[in-house]
Amino acid sequence: MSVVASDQDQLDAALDRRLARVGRRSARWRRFTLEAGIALIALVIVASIVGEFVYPNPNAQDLAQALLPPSLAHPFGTDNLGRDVLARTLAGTWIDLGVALGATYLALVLGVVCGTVAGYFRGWPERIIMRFVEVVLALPFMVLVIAIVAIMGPGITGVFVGLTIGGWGFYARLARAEMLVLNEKSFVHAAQTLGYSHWRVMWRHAIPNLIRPSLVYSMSDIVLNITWVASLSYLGLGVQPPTPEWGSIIADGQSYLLNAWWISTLPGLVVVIVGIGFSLVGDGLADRLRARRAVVR
Amino acid sequence: MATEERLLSVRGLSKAFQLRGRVSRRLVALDDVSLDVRTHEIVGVVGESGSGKSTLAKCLVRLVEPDAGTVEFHARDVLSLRGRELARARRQMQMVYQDPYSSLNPLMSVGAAIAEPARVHGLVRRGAEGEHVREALDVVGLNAALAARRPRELSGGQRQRVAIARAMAVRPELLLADEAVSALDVSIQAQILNLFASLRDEHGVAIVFIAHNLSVVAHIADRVNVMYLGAIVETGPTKEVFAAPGHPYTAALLDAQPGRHRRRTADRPVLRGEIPSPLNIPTGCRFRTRCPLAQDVCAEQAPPVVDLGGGRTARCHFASRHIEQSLSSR
Amino acid sequence: MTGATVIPAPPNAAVEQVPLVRVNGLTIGFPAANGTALAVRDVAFEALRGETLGIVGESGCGKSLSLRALLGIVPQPGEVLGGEIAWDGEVDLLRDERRLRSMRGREISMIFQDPLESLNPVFSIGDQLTEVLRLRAGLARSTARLRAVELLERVGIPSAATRLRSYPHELSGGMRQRVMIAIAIACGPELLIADEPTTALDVTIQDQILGLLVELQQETGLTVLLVSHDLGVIAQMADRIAVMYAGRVVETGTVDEVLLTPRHPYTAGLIASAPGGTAALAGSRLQSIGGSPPAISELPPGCAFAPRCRYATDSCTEVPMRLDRGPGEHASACPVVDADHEQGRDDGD
Repeated sequence: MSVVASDQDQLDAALDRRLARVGRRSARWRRFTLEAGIALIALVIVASIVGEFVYPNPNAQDLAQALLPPSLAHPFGTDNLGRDVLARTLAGTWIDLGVALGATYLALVLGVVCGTVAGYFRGWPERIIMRFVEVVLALPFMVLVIAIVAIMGPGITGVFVGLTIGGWGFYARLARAEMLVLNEKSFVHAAQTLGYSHWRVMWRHAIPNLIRPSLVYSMSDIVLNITWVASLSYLGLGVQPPTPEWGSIIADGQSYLLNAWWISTLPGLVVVIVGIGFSLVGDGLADRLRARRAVVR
Repeated sequence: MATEERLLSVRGLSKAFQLRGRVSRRLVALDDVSLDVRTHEIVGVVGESGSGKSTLAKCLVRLVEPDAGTVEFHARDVLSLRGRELARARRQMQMVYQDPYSSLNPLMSVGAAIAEPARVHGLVRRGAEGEHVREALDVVGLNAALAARRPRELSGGQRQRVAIARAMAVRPELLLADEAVSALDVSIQAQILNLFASLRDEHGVAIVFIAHNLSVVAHIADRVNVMYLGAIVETGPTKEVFAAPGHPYTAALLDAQPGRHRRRTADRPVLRGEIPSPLNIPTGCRFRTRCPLAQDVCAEQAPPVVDLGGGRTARCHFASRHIEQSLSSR
Repeated sequence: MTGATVIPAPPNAAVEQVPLVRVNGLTIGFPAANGTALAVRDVAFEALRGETLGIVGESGCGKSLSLRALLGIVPQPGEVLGGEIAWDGEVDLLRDERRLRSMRGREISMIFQDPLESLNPVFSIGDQLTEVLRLRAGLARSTARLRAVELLERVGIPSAATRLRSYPHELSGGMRQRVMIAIAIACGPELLIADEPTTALDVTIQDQILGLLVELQQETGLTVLLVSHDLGVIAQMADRIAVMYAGRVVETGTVDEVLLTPRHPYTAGLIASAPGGTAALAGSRLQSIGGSPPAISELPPGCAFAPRCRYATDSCTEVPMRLDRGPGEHASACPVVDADHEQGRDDGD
């Protein structure tokens, strides 16, 4: 509080004006953010579709062509077995994006449902669910995922399950917090007084109103999960050779980093592009949703 | 009271906000508002949402700069003041807000909150704050022991008293009370209304009392201004205005007061429709879209300010002290 | 309502009407630092068919909470600790949860204070209206659509058919409350619980909404439980009144009995506090009640109003509050002023 209330108010008003100005400027940039993000992701996906046709067999070896630097024939060069790095990178898109998206959204659905149930019913369902959440969130993510992969055995399934189990807790916590707020809203009471079932109140009335923060968060979660899939494969815990996958391609190229830099670097660049793409979509989406919320007052 | 003189004089105050969007729109918040406040007087401003009554308060203390018009305080133009002069004028005009929960800093003790403005304005010597705070608390009927408390340890009514004590601590000549009792329960509201009346009676402060609740304004104000969509549609001594309204909107507002009709019947005429958007104010008379008396002339010409005598005016083509009869005969 | 006004039956009336709802001994507690805080204690009231029972009191007095118990939606971690709610003299709604669930939205429905928050912001009003019609009234999609338009027209929404596609934020507060009423009456309920339905609205809009409620009541014989802090609203809408303070009903009776000859000092104080209520003239002081309502977690022993009461005697802090007669007659929970309340009301300063 400053001098007199009225001075404080004037300060607030000035601040509001400035924020509004900044807001307007960045609104234009934000619009661009969402579209730029979508464009980057689309670029990689389209390229991978095209790749299916251009390189029907990404694992085709040609030892005579080993370790060639990038050229028109091999834009990303070739690896030590003479395989085209671009072909393998594009083929890996499906595995990396698929596992990352799948694990993220399975975690989101699981987390949002559990969190909503916990926040809606309170009492013992909440205590049980949130106890699990605490356990999941208390363990370091990496340790948890690696432990699960170790139990399930290396491979895509292990990575998928590991990322899902490691990831749902945060969504549950987010959804529960939002549900606690909605519990106070009279449209939730209204739905209850109209005799709708608990399931319906949660599914139709609460979840559409609480899922936005989770959706926004899921965008950055996808980025993390893509790097996790790649990292786990890099460590030899994920996708097994010779299946093309970004992490394993990068890992394979590692020993040739000094004399054939392209094997690791160029696929790494693709990972970065996809990561930036999802981050931009996340930012843009967050702002869009916030703007919509503001309209709703 | 022969000593009454003009304290605040507002003439032709107008304010429109430009809303940006795909289409730039103009929100008319105030349109040619004039009002006077004499010393020791409580002037009421009553209106529904969108009537511009809060913008009016903000213009008076220059939280919002009006587009046109003048605000004179002690015959000095407030709108042209700068620096120390402005600070002085601000000290003499203090605001009391609707929500005592958010207008007090939760981390500051009651005593510190009250002492601060007085110290900043150089009204109290260092070391003498304690006495000053005690006096201020006494003025609003609070025990001096409360000075050590934090706002969250107080009830809603006590918080509003502290907010008033803080405003009174700089010895203002005018209080601007913007919905100052609207958030309070009825029994507490009555206490605070009585407090405002005693501040005027015992400390001689003039009060501009802004509220949406007509019966509150009717109770406390000597004179009343009825606002509708950014304009004052009727003004005059409170008792007379509410006993025989001169503008159909005042009459409708009065008629809509809960409890005025002991038995609610469904067929009683109620004011039709809703308040138009301030983005799209009707041509001619702004009330004509809901007015039971509206004629063609109301859409074509803006109504004149009709002098009804006895300090009463109304902005209506058909303004008269018998407007209720014209309404009920329809 | 004029037609449906229930005049208290003279003592020799042949048949006593069975109230549609009769609440008795309702007690609701919340866990607190020192055990359980009772937000509602031993509350009793009843409403006859077609009448409006007004429940009046200040914030935190337990008026909304009591009505939520009727629908079984007491907010967590609150808990109904005792009492009974008899529906039509038969079912105890507190003990027959299956029956209550089937009644919600059909026989009993509710409207809330904030009409923006009581509609789901992400669905159109058409969606929300047809949802209740299909689920609770069992209509097919196409008939539900037609019925939805009828209902919107009934509650006075212009160009109803196109309005179905609107979202709550596109409507004004008054229109939203009309939509909420349309949803509430969609299945032709017998009881409508209205929790401060006009508090958030402008006074001219409030007048329209109250008028709409009266119209609907006249048409359908709806019973209304109206919660309000505004004595004026209660005075013009209610047939009978229950006044609540600190979780208890302190006075009940017909609207005339309670408002014209209040027996409890709190009721009298409330009436005297309301500006314009007792024709207080500008310039005069209101007879305010000193102090503020106690927190439910730290209620004084005996009568909860005693610390603020002008008539309090030593015995007030010892004897707990209790309505002196069963509901249905003019009853008060004050044994002190009761004996000479005429005197008590008149010697105000």
